[in-house]
Amino acid sequence: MIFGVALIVPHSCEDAFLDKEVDITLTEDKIFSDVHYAPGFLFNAYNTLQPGFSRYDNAMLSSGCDEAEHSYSGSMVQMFNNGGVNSTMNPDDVWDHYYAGIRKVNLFLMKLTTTIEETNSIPEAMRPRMRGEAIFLRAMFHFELVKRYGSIPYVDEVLTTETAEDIPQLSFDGVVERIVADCDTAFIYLPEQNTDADMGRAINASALALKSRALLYAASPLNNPGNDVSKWERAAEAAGDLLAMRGPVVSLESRFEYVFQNPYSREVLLATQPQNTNNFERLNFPVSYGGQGLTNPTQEMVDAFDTKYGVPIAQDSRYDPNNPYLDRDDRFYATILYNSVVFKGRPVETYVGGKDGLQSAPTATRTGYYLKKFIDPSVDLDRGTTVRKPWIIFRFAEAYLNYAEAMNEAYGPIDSVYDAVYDLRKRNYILTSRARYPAGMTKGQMRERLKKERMVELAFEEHRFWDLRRWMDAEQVLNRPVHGMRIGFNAADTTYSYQRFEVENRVFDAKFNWYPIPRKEVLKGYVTQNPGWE
Amino acid sequence: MIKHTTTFCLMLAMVITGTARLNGQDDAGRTITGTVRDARGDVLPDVNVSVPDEFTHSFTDAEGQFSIVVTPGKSLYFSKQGYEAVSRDVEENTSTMEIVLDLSEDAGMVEVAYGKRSKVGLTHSISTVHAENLEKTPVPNLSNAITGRATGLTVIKNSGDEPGYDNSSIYVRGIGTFNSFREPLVMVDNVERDFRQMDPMEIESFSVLKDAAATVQYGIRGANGVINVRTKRGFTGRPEINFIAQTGFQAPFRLPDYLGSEEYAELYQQALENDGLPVPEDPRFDPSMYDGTQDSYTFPDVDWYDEFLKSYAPQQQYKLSMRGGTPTIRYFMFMGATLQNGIYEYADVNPQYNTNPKFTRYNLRSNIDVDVTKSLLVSVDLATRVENRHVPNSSAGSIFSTLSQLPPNAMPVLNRDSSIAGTSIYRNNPLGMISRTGYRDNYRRILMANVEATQQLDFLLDGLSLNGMIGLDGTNYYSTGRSQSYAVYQEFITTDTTEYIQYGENSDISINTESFDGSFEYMLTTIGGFSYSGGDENAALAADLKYMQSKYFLNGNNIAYANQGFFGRATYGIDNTYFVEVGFAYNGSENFMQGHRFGFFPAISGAWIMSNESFMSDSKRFNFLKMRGSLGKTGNGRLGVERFPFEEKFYAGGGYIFGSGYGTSDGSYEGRLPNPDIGWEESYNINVGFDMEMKNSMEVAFDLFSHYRVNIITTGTNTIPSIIGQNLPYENNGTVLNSGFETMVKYGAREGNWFYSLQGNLSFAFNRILNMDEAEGLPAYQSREGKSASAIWGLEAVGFFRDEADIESSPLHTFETVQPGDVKYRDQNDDNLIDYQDQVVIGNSIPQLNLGILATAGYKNFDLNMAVTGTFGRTVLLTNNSIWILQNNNKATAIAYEAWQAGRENKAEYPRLTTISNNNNYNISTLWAKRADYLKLVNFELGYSLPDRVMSRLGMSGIRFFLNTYNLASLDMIGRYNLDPEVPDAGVTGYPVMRVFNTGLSLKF
Repeated sequence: MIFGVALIVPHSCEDAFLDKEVDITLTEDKIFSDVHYAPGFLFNAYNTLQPGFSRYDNAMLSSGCDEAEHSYSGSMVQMFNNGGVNSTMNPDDVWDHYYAGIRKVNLFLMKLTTTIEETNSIPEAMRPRMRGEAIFLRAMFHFELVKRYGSIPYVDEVLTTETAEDIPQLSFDGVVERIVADCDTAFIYLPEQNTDADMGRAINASALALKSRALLYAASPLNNPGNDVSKWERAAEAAGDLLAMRGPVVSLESRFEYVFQNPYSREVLLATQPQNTNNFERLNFPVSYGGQGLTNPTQEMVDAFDTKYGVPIAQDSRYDPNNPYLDRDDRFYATILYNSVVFKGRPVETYVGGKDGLQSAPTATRTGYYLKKFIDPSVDLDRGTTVRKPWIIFRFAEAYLNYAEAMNEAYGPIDSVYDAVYDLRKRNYILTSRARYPAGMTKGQMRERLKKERMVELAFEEHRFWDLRRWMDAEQVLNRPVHGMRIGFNAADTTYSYQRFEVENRVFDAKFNWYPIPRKEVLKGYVTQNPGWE
Repeated sequence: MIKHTTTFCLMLAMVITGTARLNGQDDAGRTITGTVRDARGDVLPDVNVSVPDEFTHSFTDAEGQFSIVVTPGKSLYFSKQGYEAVSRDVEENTSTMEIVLDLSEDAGMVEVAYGKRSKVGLTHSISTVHAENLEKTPVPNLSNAITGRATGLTVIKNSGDEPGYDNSSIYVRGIGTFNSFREPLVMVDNVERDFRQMDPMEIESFSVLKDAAATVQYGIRGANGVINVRTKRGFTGRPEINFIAQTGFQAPFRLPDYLGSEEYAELYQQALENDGLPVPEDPRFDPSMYDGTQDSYTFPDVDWYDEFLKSYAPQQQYKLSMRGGTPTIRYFMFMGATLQNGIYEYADVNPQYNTNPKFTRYNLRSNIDVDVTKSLLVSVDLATRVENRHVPNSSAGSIFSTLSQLPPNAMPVLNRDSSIAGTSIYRNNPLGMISRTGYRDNYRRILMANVEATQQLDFLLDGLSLNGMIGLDGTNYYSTGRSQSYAVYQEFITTDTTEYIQYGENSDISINTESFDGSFEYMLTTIGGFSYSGGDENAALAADLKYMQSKYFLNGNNIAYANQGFFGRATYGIDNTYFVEVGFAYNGSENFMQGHRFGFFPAISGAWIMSNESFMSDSKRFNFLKMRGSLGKTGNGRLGVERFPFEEKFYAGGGYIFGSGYGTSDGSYEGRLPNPDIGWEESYNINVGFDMEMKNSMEVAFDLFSHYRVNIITTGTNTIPSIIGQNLPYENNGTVLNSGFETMVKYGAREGNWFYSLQGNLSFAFNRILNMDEAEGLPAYQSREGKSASAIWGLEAVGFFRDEADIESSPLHTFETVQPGDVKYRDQNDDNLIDYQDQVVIGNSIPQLNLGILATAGYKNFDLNMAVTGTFGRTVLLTNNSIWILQNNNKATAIAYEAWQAGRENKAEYPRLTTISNNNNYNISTLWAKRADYLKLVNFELGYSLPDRVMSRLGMSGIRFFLNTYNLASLDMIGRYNLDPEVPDAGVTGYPVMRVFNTGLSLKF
């Protein structure tokens, strides 16, 4: 009786019973006045950068263009190939993802001059660099959006539910101008190089690399229908500025394959974080090595590699169609796993009937090839060993290709074009003389050669998918079948026979040059849909 | 097992010897005979006639007559549950007695929220499950036993799942919100507790509170309906002892039937052809190799289900209860043990450990009431429950997915060299999963205690009392286990060598016992306040005003859940004919911002007993007729979203790896934008109904309701630009209207040696989303507004492509490049493209109509019980690999023969066979959506009781043998796929649903 009354009295009018006993909630002010959380907020924004190893339903973007076929036909990446992408379903719909990243850096920039400055949660000396990183990331995230959607809002403030509708949708060129401006600003604030502990953060060359790529895209036929040469000149200048940075901090690796074995190579200008993983190997080791063998390079990709004499296979009489993998450009061996090449101590068997051959398993190769690039053969899937695996976003090699392409378009195949390509190619040939293109090519011939060079050098690095679009080549190149190699094995004389075959027909419509803006956003009325997608 | 059987035998022996002593007679006494009747003059059987302070006792027989030997000068005590006990002195010359027992105060009362009210004048909409009937369903989990047993209940099995994990979802009056938290509040003895692992023998009443009048006391917690369970209590009288031992077996209800290697190889060839792929020259693809003459290691034909599943597994239950008391101390005690085994074969082949799933549960309860003084009643209820679940480390989901995926010719179970077989594609072998991945024991210990005191305050005001209660619940759960890994080997035979390629790695069982997520959580509930009951038949008033608070403390840094508030109720009855009740709750939860936490929830209800009116007093039709109505508001503070949506959210973590080390940098990030004004869902409920009893004793109850739920959580996802870059704040913006009716009809009769009763429950509820903050300009067919909150969306299949010309002339199907034999869909928006914009409502995941038929019959000493339940208006998606055959490395059931094939296009029920997955054909569509309506014979029981004369000789009051079943038969349209209509994935991607046969013995003393 007494305790009944006692119960009622103390609590009856007290709201405190419902309060948290311990309030561990972090508020905006707590975060930005804290010496760990304040810089951590910017570091967290780096997570927005996406590795391209398995992003598209376990596939690489390469499998959505003519570099590769994905052996699991149910993967959403196939929507790029059968024309299935639409405004409600797109395996690469990153609209929300990058705008979320943009909010992070904008919020950080806003706090940098308010709470952070007031509380000195980031020492004054460190602030300029972090400002540069935030501005660079803002440009980077917008570039990821603009190359996909074409015309987007450029957001440089922290939006509220009220202000979000007032941000204008800019044209492609309008967005690139903002990106370039942000890159220029970031360049000033960013350091020339990272200390060991800072490896992986943006440096000034990262900003210049982004500027170079953005201007190259803007000068390309898709975005430069009148072929305004000054746009090429501007792109060439940016690429030239980047090339000029060559030195102890940034330069080419001595060997092509070293780039992909070193998380902090001096050739890499920006990469995603080097997580320890074996997921990529699990997905891409040939099937008999315990992988799923998902990314299968096409015959088109294989054919793009020159012979070791530096000559395209079609023009090289030394190329033997009955022994097609002999004497090729070094990069071929670092990029493709082909029949009979020794991998992890034994030969890969992609011949029909072989352990890794066509149809030997549901996700066995569909082209006769497996991927080598990025794969670390030391990974032991049974024991679950892992390796550091950053995804390269910018590497110095691209500068040579950007420069050569823009110079050729702006000024024709002048010496500096030849020199730039030579400088890049010479690490791939025992005889460096073979790295030089034959003199006397026309601007058109040079253009074709450079396109192929780009395909080979930057294969599987998420370039060709966009390059084909900006060159407006996709309507032809991606609108026809891709091929593979059916290899027969004659046990009697242990010889192989080679037969090209059509793996899959591909469909590409002009509207696919741009992604559709997600329909849920278009319905809100603040953005206009891209042509063909309405 | 043997251990607790022995314990029980021992206890039983003690009980029997004890009882035998009770029956010893005193020679010095004289025999008294007589009859006991109730106030209406009807004879009362089973009345306990005893001599206080002596062990002498007897019972009245079916005619209400008793006979007992007693020493003159003593008194006789007559008691029966539900009646006021009577004491009568035995004089020198007494030889016969005529006794009349009045109904006790409690009789004619029903349990309502936090209290009792007279059943006659009840203004609420409440339906009840008879707990004694739940005992007849041989399943340990009560949520599986209540299906169909009361109106307003929707019970859907969640999954098959291993013993101890099988559960059903329960909804009251369907669903009234599109929020993900839709289940009712469950109260056991006025504390929020789970009832599912209780034993039905512990339960006195189980009621479903449906309308606002019934649920308003719970305020912010009541909008999804409430299930109110009360446990049994003691009574004044001689102890009733009840012992039940039962044992039975469980067998999978339905399992898919996969084809053998020969058929599989044939179909696989056909599928390869459809895919335009050549048939590999490998002889394993040749159907003729599986005629039994070939080497069974190279050409296996394994029935994986048969190989790895036992056809049945045992289960046992033992329970004992004691109930009785003296006028001052009354008790109810219960203990029970339940054991269920799993159905895995090969669980014991590893000498180190057995992995067959095993569920053991012990329930213990002691409810004691003590009259400390004439006016102070103290009750102490202590209950505890131990639940142990033993499972292999490989989940049932992964084991069954493997069983249902492995083709019969993929590999043998064991290779020629007795190693575990596997291939580069199939790296899981059920043998390894069951016997070589280790095991896990999940333990759960639950303590539930209620201490309650009620002080009559008659000295202040006649009928006033003060009551206080403390409830303490503790739950401790932890798991231990040991893990192991295994390798599989694929055989490669060349001309002269046999080579085995290894996939995975063999490891020893881990040396140390690994323990996982140990945690202790507890809840403290206090309730206290005043009750008043007074007046007379002409004007009766019953009122309560109480305060309650409860706090549920979680592990670690997690913030406790808390509820707090007042509730009250006043019921006023005039002439026993007109009743009006007002009820309210003013309560809140920790989930909202200070100042926005408390809500006021009122309800008003009334009842009119027409049969008490003079104009109906001569009615030839009705014994009783009552009209009811209620109107009120309740709330739902569990929003189905993250907690504390009102506050700004920032989090630590999410750093990044910089530098050559492996450490992650500091990180912090922003969470969802806050809405400081966020509140709870509110439901405005209206209910009208009637209860009647006809002269022929047929009872009918009917309710018509409409619940209008507002303030359901939405976000601006569909209206605010996502370039804002952050999850948008929650808003109270959604509206759902849920309406329907329920009716219960009950009829029973007794004729000579026969008796029977029949009860039908029918509940219908349908809901419509009226607002959910959708984008403007959506075409009507795409809008979710106007559709059910449980709608299933998908494409509308219109057939299969006949030929290339058909494909040419049809809209472009964007999911996959289509070919003849692929599914053709309707272009809902005529844009000549088939994509997700063509999705329409193709079904409903929650049944609209629920039916229960309960039948009981008896003849002499035989009795029969039956429960049939049915649901209608529910759709299930058949998307597992017993239906989606072959594609994606799956095997095939006989459905393959109904697939589209050139030449028999017109008979096709399913798309062409394919070996690869196909995003067009295997998209959610009407092709895979099937009506899941069913009528299930949930429960069937046949019992035989030994005759009374045998009983009296044994000094016992009853021995009954019974045979019962669970899930015996089902009438539905999913049966042709060998799948369960409630859980079509059971047995395919999860543990199967079980059918139970059970037999037992019940002893009463």
